Amino acid sequence: MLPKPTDLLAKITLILRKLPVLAARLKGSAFYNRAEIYFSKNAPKSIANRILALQFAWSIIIYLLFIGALWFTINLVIVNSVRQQGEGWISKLDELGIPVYATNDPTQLNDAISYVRNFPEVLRAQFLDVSGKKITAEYTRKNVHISKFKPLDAKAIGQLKQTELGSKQLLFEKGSNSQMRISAPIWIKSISNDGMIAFSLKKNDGEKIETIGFIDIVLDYSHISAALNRNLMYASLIIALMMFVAAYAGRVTVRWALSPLSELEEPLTRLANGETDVTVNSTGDKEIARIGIALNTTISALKERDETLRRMANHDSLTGLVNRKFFVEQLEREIGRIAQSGGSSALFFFDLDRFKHINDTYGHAAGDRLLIQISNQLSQRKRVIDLVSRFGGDEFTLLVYNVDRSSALEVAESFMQLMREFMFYEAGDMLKIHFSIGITIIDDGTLSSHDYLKEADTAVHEAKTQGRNDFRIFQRRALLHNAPESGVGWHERLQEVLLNNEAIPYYQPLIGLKNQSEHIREVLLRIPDMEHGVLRPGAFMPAAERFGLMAEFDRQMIKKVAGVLAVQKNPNLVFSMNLSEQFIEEDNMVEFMKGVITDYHVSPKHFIFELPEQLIIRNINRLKLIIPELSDLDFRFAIDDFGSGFGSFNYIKKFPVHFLKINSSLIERINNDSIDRISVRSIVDIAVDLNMQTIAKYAGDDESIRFLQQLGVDFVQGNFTGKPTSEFNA
Amino acid sequence: MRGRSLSILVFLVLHGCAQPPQDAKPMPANEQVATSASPPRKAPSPMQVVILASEDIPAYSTVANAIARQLGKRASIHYLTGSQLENIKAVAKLKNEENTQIVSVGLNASIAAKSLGNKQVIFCQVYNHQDYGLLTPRRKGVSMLPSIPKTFSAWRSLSPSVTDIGVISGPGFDDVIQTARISAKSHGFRLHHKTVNSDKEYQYAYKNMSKMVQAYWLLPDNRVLSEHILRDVMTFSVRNSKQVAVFSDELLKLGGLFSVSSDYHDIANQVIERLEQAGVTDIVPGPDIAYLDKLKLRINVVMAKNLGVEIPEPFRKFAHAP
Repeated sequence: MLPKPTDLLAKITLILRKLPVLAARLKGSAFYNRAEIYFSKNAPKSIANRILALQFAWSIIIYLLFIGALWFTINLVIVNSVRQQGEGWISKLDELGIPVYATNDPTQLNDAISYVRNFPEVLRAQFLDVSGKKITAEYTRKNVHISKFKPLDAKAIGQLKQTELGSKQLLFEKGSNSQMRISAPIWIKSISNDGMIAFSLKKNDGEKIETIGFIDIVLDYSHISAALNRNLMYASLIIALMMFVAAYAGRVTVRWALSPLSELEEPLTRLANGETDVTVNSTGDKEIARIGIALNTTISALKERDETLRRMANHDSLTGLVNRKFFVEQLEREIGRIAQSGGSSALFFFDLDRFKHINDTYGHAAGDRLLIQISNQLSQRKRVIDLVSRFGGDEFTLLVYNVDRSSALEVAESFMQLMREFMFYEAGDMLKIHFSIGITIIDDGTLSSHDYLKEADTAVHEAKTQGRNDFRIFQRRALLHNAPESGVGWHERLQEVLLNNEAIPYYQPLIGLKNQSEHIREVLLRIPDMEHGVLRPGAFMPAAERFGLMAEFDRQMIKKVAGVLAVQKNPNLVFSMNLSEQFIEEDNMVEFMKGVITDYHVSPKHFIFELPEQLIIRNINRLKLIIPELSDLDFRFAIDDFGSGFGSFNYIKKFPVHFLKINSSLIERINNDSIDRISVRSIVDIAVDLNMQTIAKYAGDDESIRFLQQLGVDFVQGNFTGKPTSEFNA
Repeated sequence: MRGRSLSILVFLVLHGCAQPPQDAKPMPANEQVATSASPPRKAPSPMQVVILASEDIPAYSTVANAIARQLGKRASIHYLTGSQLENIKAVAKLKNEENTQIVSVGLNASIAAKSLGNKQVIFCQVYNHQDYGLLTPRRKGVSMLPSIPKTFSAWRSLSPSVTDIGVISGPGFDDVIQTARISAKSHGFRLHHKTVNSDKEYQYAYKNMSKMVQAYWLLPDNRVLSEHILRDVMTFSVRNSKQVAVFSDELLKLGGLFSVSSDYHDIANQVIERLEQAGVTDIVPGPDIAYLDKLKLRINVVMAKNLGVEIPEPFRKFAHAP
């Protein structure tokens, strides 16, 4: 028998009260800790567990509803069944009770008693008279408790006496302890007065009905309820067990179905940690497979993006070689390896000779093509394991692993040989390209990558200063005495020169061949140097250009010259000086010049600005604007290296030019080369026609000067006629 | 339907049928079967006869018509089918009519005729007349029951071995039972009678009687019979292999062995005979209830077979499968 709801509630309350005590006991145990983590608000919830929880909750709800409905239905069925059975017993008692009414003798109830005794459900059977008050006969089962039912009242009797419907009206009353009372009328019937005339069984109407008494029985169906409830309990337990098995099977199924999702965790974690060499399983269920495919597509895209970024970050976009950053990283790694394991490697620093000339003459596109070809040459010649980079501009570096000094020299020689064989074809010209190589041996783990790069740069600088197209290996002992700092430190060095206004103007006289009144001096830039005293522009100008400092050098030189002019106050003194491309490109260049004139109270006619032909080519539009403006102010302009290119004559038509400084290549062999002489004569003729003066550079001897004088050149310049000096000699 | 009924209609005519039979020997077949033609009658008295019928239904109209046909112009039929007031007026009108005899057909007509105390009234087609006080010296009746002697005579012919027959009725059937006892005895039967007051008692008595009797004779007493009880006792009889003589062909379907019912010509004859006997006297002479001389017999061959009843050759023409 199922427990009563009140008992069940009491037990549940007791269990709930004990829960805190139980929890306190469990606290600290592994189970408790695990449960605490699992149920913590911050703990990530599992989809499988959510589905299972939902499934479980629904199962419980369905189970409870089912059991409740089953219990309700069974009880309803029991009651209805007992009612129907009771109706049957009533009917039988109606028949068996006839002797009682026929004889009006209560003792005639024997048949009825014998009958109802067989049914333990019948606790009492009473035959009442037509008033419903008087008991005509009665049977009561012994040793049973019968609920108290109120006697039939007038209303009930009136209801039971209703005969209009033709069927008996039964009254049912539920008592306590699963007992029920059923009351029914006892009828007698007779066929109507004329019913026998043309008697027919089909005519069932017209019968007279009379109530002669009542039957009242009390039924006890508690044992049926108990048996059915017991069976219900067993059934519910079996159903609960089946649901538990189904839930477990569901759990296994859900976990199995979601296992592909769980398997995503490991590759996704790796992916989240930056690994892209991850593959996600894209088989299995359609939904999971789609996720897998999408993830794999994403991973592939990430891989490609990473690879692109890595290439962009580590490689030079023009040559495809690794860039400076990546090279430095590898260099540091090699230094670290050497620091740990010993051995030696070599760092090569390549600097293309005369790259600026290529760039200026053939344009940047040609320069880029040259850099690409040089990159290919270096890549093809190096060993596979070695690393070559474009360090910047026309500089390349090469890390040659596991070589000693002698091997490094052999490598250097092989590269020199490579370049000796290399020809660069551009615009129909076949150009010989050389580079200078600085080498340092990496064998000291205490030095940094910066140190080694400075050493290699120093070495390449030395190679350049000592004639180019050669290599030098850095001698570490001489480090302290090496005055010119490597290219790596040029920026700081040049900044320092500018900051301290240490740029030194050197003056080289231009000798007039026609007794001119003007005394022209070319102002040449020098910077102080501890070892050499001063450094020539070839040593630092590339670095200055690279770091964008040339404009500032120009400004300082112009101011210094203006200062000299202001002091000298010589009306015939004229200074010729080169202007850098960076200065020309400055927007306020003209304003600056005006400011200098104003500030130093000097006349612009004392200034001649030399513009190399290549600079004009690259800045023709800009010069078209500023030269006329400056010319209007009385500044004068000279085309330097005139005759080195094909368009030289063209430029003199573009803007006002006052001097043509003839290219040295036409002057050097003028004694022996009639063509050069013709060329010079032509230039001079043109200059005369255009009211310009000519200057010949590098006039090396008296004969040359004589020739130049005969050709009508106005000025000569060179170490033969006057070396540059810092001291101004008016 | 009517033609079919006529084709199977049989009149059993026994000599001296108005009196109790002298012996129980079965009648010869050629004497048992009568034709549907009515025997010749004496010339009717000159008194007018008003036939009051309860309603115009076959059970009443056939009898009324049969009477009227025999009486010719002397007779007129009035159906009490109008309103109660109209019926009262119609009956009141008769009261003042001279030289008139009344025949009431059916209970309602008979009750209405009670107000015609100065008239000779013969009622018929009335069950339980005693419950309504219909009998007076001037008011007599004709029985509803077919000939009782012939009933037992036929039964004996069908079932020579049956000795005890039970019969149950409500109160007031003493004359009928007395008559029946005599007839039964004359045919070798012992009649066990029980008077009951309700259908329940009927049922109880019927089943109680079962041990004593081999057969039941169902009297058509509407007061103690109900359809349910009829079905129950018939079922009981079938289960207990009891022969049952029933009062309606309908009950053959429930297991009756044979049915006996009255014939309207017989009723009409009895009514007219009583009218003639009454003549111009103040009273109606003779017994209170005149019994019928004839009966209609129908035998249930299925039950006969089940009960092991061998239907004699003369009776086979009455055999019927319900």
